[in-house]
Amino acid sequence: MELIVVGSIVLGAVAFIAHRAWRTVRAARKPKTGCGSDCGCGH
Amino acid sequence: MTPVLALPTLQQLDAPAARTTCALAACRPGSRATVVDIECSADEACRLRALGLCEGTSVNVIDSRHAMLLEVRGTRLALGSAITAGITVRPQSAQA
Amino acid sequence: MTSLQPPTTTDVQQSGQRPDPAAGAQTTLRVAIIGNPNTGKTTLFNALTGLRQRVGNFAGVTVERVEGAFRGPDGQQVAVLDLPGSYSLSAGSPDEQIALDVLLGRDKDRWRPDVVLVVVDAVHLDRNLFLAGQVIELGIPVVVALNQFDVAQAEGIAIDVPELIHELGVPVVPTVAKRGEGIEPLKRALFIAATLPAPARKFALPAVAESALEPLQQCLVADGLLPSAAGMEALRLLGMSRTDPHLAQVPGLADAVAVSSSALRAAGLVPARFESEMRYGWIAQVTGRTVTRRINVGQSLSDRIDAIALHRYYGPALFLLVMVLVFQAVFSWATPLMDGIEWLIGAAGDAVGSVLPDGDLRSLIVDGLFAGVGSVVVFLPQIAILFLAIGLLEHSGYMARAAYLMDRVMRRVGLHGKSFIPMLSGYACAVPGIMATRTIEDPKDRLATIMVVPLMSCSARLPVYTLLIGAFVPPIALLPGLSLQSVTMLIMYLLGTVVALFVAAIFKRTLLKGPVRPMILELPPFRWPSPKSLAVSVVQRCELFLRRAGTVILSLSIVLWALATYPKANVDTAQSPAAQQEQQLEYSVLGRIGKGIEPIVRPLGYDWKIGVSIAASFAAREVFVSTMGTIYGVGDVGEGDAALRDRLVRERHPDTGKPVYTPLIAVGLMVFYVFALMCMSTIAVTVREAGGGRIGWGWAALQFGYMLGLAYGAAWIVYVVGKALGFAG
Repeated sequence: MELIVVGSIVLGAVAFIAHRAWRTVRAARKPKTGCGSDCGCGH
Repeated sequence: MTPVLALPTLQQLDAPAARTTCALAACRPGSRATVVDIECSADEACRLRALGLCEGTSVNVIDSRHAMLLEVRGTRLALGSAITAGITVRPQSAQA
Repeated sequence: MTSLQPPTTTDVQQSGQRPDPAAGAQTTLRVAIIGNPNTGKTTLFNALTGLRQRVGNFAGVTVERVEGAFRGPDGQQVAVLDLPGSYSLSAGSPDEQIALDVLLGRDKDRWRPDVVLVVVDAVHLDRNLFLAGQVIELGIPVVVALNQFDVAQAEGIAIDVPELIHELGVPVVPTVAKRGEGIEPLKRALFIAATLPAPARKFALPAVAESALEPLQQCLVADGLLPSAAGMEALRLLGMSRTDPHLAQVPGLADAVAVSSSALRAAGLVPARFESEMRYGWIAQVTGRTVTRRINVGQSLSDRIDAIALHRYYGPALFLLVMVLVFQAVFSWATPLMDGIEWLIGAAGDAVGSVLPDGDLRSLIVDGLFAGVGSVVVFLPQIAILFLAIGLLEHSGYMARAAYLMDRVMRRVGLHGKSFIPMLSGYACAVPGIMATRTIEDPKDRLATIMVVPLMSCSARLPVYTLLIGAFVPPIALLPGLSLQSVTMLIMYLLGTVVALFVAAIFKRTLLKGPVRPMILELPPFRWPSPKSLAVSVVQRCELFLRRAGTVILSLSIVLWALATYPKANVDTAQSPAAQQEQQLEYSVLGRIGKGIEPIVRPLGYDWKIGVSIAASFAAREVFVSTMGTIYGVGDVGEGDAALRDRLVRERHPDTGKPVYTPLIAVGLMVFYVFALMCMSTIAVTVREAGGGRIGWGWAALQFGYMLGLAYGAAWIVYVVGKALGFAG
C-alpha cells in the first residue's frame, strides 16, 4: 500500500518534469512571447 | 582627442568667433554650441535625430571624457567619441 | 479636435493593411501604448490595467510585448498592448522594430490597434513630440497622455493643454501615472477617440518636397499602407540606411526612395535631414504656443547627484561602494530571516515525521520534501533583498549611469556601455538580461552580449554560494559592517563579471568580428522609486521563486529521493547505523550513477555525492542544494534537524576519515557554479533570441559548451593550484 502511494507520487513528479521540459523546448522553437512560468524572470 | 587648448574661439563671445565651427568632440565641458552638421552612419544619425539632436539644436557640454555627456532639449545624452567627432558645431559661448 | 481629418482615412478597419474578419462585430476596444523610454509608460500601463509588470527607469525595460485588459465605464472590454519604449518609429533596434510593425499592421501575430495611446513626458515635451508626430500620421485614432505632469509643474514648466489639443488635433490628458491621477479621464478619452476620425499630419511639406515624395508614397500605398501612413513612412525611409528590412521586401521601394531622394536633393534639400527638420520645425511652433518655462530654475537635484555619480574618481568609487553594499545586504542582513525560516522548516519536518509511521512514505516526506525543497526555500530572504537592490538601481535611474561609467571598459572589450545594462540585469536572472539585449542596435554586439550574460552570477547561484560560504568561510569582520563572507561572495560575482568581459572580447574578435559601435544612450533624470511598484516587483519575484520551488524543484526532489532510496540493499545489520546508511545510498540508483560520474569529477577533488548533485543541477542550479539536502537527509542517522551546512562540515570520507569538504573544495565548487550554464530557461531564451531554429540552437550549444568547459577548467585549476599551495584537498 505504502509503495503504491510513494510510487504514484514519484511517477507524478516524473510526468510533471517531462511536461515542463517539453514546454521549455517548444517555447524555444517558437519565437513568441513569454518563457514559461518557471524561469523566475517575471515575464 | 586632445581638445580645446588650441581653440581660443571657445573662450570668446564676440561675433566673428561665433561663426567658426569645430567638432563637438573638441568642445569643453561647460560650453554651449549649435549643431551644424551630423556626419556618421545613417542608422546612428537617425537615432540622434530621434533623441532630439539634429541640425540647429543647441547642446550643453556637461562632461567630456572617453564619452561625452550632453544636455539636449532638457535631456541628458551620453555619446561615444566616434559620434561626437563626426558632429560639427558652432560654439555659442563659453562659461568655462 | 475638429477640422483635421481628410475623409480618406476615416475608416481604419476597412482600409488597414490587414483586414480583420471580426471588424464589424467586434466589441473589444484595442489600444496600443507607445512612448519614449522613461516616460512612465509602463507605470501608466499598470495603472490602466492593474496587471503588474516590471517597470524600469532605463532605456528599454519593456522588451517583451505585454498585454493587459480593463473594462470601460459601460463594461466594454479594452485590450491594451504595451509596446517597447521607442524614441521614434525609425526602427534602429529590434524593440523599435516591434513597435513599428504592430502600428503598421505588419505584425501577423498581433492585432492592429483601434486607438494608439502615446505617452509623452511633459518635462521633455519637444523631444517626445517627435514620436507623437509620427504616430499621429499613421491613420489610427490617437490619444496623448501628458505624463509626469506634476514634475513639469514643479520644474516651472506650464503647458496650455487646450491649446496643445488644438495643435495636435487629438485628445490630450494630463496624467501622473505614479499616483494614478488622470487615469479615469484617460480611459474616457480612449473611448471618445475611438469614435473620432483618425488624425493626420499637422504641418505641410514644401510644395517641391510634396512632389518629390510622390513616387515613394505611391509605392507604399500600392504595398497596402494607408495614404497618411505612407506619408509618414516616406519621410522616415529618407533618413534610413539601406539596411531597413522593408526596402528589400517591397518591390520597387528601394528605387522609389532613390528617385525621391535625388528629387529632394535637386530642390536643394538634404534627404537624411529632411524628416527631422520638418518635425522639429513643427514642434518648435507647437511648444512655442503651448509651453511657458519659468526661466532658470537652477541646477536640479538630479544634476547635482550626477556631478558625483558620474565624477571621474568618485563615480567609479561610488559604483563599487553600491555593489559592495548590495552584497553585504544580501549576505548579512538576510541571515536572521533565513535562520527563522530554517528553524520553521526543521520544526515542521520533525512534527510531520513524528506523526507518520516509520517507512518509505515518511522518508519521502521528511528527506525528499522537507530536506530537499526546504533547503532551497531558506534562500527566499536573500532573493528578496537581491531583487530589491536591483529594482532600486533600475527604478532610480542609476543603471544608465553605470552603463556610462562602464563605457570605457566595454569599449576595450569591443562593445559599448549599453551592453552593460543587460549584464547588470543578469545579476537577477539571465533570462530578462538576454531579452534586454534587444535595445542593442548592432546584431553582432547583441549576440556577443547574449553569449556572456549567463556568466553574470544570477539569483539561482545564491543558494549554492551561500551554502558553501556559510559552511566554510569564517564570519570574520574585515571592517565594521563588512564580513569576509560577503567579500567572498563579492569576489564570486566579480569573477563572473570579469570573465564575461574577457569572453565578450574574444567573441568580438573572432566569431562576431565587427567595428566598435559608439554609444548613444539617454541618462534619464534620477527619480525616487515608487515604493509601491518596488514592493510589487519584489513580491512578484518572491512568488515566482516559491512557485518554482513548489513545482520544478519539488518534483526534482521527489525524483532524486526515489533515486537515492531504491533499490533497497540487503544491508549488513552488524555494521553501525551510519555505515548501513552509506551502504544503502551507494547501492541505490543515484549511488550507482554517482559512482559512474565519480571519475569525471575526481580530478576536481569531488566525491560521488557532489558529482551526482552537479549532474542533477543541470536542469536548474538550485537543485544542487536540494539534492545535497536529500542525499544527506536520506543518509542522515538520527541527527534530526541538523542544518545541511553543519552536515557538510562534519562529513568524512568513509575510508580515510578525512573531511570531504574542505575550504578548497568549497571554493572550487563555487567557481564551477560561477561559470557553468545550468539553466533550461536560459538555454531556451538564447535559442530564441539568437535567431531560433538551427542557428539559435547552434549558438545555445556553443554557449552551454564553452561555459561548461570554462567551469570544469577553472575548478580544476583552483583544486590543483590550491593543493600545490598546501591547502587540504
